[in-house]
Amino acid sequence: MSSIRDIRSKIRTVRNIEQICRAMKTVASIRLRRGEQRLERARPYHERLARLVEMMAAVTQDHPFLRERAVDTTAMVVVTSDRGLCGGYNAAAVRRALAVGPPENTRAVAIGRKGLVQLRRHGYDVVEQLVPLGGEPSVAAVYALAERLGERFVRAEIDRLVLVHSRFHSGTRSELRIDAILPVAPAPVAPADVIFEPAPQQMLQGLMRRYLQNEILSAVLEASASEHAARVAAMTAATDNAEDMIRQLTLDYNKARQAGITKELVELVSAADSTV
Amino acid sequence: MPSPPFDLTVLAPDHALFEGRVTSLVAPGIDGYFGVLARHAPMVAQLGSGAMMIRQENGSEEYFAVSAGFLEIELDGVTILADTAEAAAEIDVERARAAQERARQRIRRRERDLDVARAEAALQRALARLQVVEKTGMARTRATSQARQQ
Repeated sequence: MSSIRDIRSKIRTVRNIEQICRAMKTVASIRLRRGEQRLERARPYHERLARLVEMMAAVTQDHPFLRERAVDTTAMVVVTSDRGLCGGYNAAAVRRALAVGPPENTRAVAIGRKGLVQLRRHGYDVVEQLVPLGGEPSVAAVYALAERLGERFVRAEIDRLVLVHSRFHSGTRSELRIDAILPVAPAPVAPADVIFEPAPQQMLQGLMRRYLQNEILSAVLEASASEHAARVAAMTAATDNAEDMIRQLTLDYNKARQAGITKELVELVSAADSTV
Repeated sequence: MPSPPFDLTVLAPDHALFEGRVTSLVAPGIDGYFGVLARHAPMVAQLGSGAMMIRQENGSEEYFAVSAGFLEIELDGVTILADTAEAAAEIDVERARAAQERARQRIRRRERDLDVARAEAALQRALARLQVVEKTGMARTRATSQARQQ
């Protein structure tokens, strides 16, 4: 059994760790709340824009984003976090990304530091990156990245673009998804008799640009909220474990202390006995 | 005869601005302003920047500053997807004036690394905001003078 002093210092260490975990949990839950709000406010626009774009895709193919072509190279945008301590959040996203395709014909686009490091380690050519992503992702940086990806697609450096990210459902539930965003999958039914003002060809430039920007922004917001949720969960578990450990160590400490006292008493009594 | 109401949703990438029933709206199309009443044929229009007006069921008018975007008319209602949109009450007049001045000067000075399209877009946005403020101001004065007459 370890000495009383060892146990005491162990308790102190675990208590420090517990406090750090608790602080990280608090920060993550504030970020989660903020991220969730931002997401809720962004979702309606994203859903409607995606629907409009799919409808347009059913009407016209007069833009590179709308035309299917033989797939030589796929690019995958992988959204992860910059920092760890969020359970299996990043590992799961990277594992899913590996299933998209082998490094020979798959290019990687890393959003978040963890993904960048892991994808490189697995031999992927990371052609674009947004690192660090930050706790509250910047719209301007995401849009700039979207712009560069769009240009690559138009230049046919990539023939297909997919997004690997966590979609946020609730504080305890996120879902990893692979969404194909380019080329645009047209709506199953083309609408009849829609007036276009101006002609579709003229609007497509602006619409497609906005679409790509918004798809990536939306994925980032979904993933960011999921990340904070995962971190809250991980830090809650860590805090609970630390508490259990402290309880156990306190018990050991008391036992050791009691054993010491008993031993001293026995010594005292036997010493007294022998002097009588 | 009052025109029948229809559903309108005004959305920007970072928030929803309006959701409700209106009897008409006037939006800044990329080739000029146009109006929409109930039972309009399905349409997709590209928007420029400017002041958008909606008339609610109770007859009150409301203005929004929008900068580019799209308007979609379906059988069950109208959706506006604006790049940026602000309700009149959210507009900071001083900031809009300052932004307008800044954009004007940038364009006038023709700085070497000037992104003309961006500067012009900034100017357009500022103008749209000021237009909204002006129109809302007019609507308010009109409302109060009407109230006085009654």
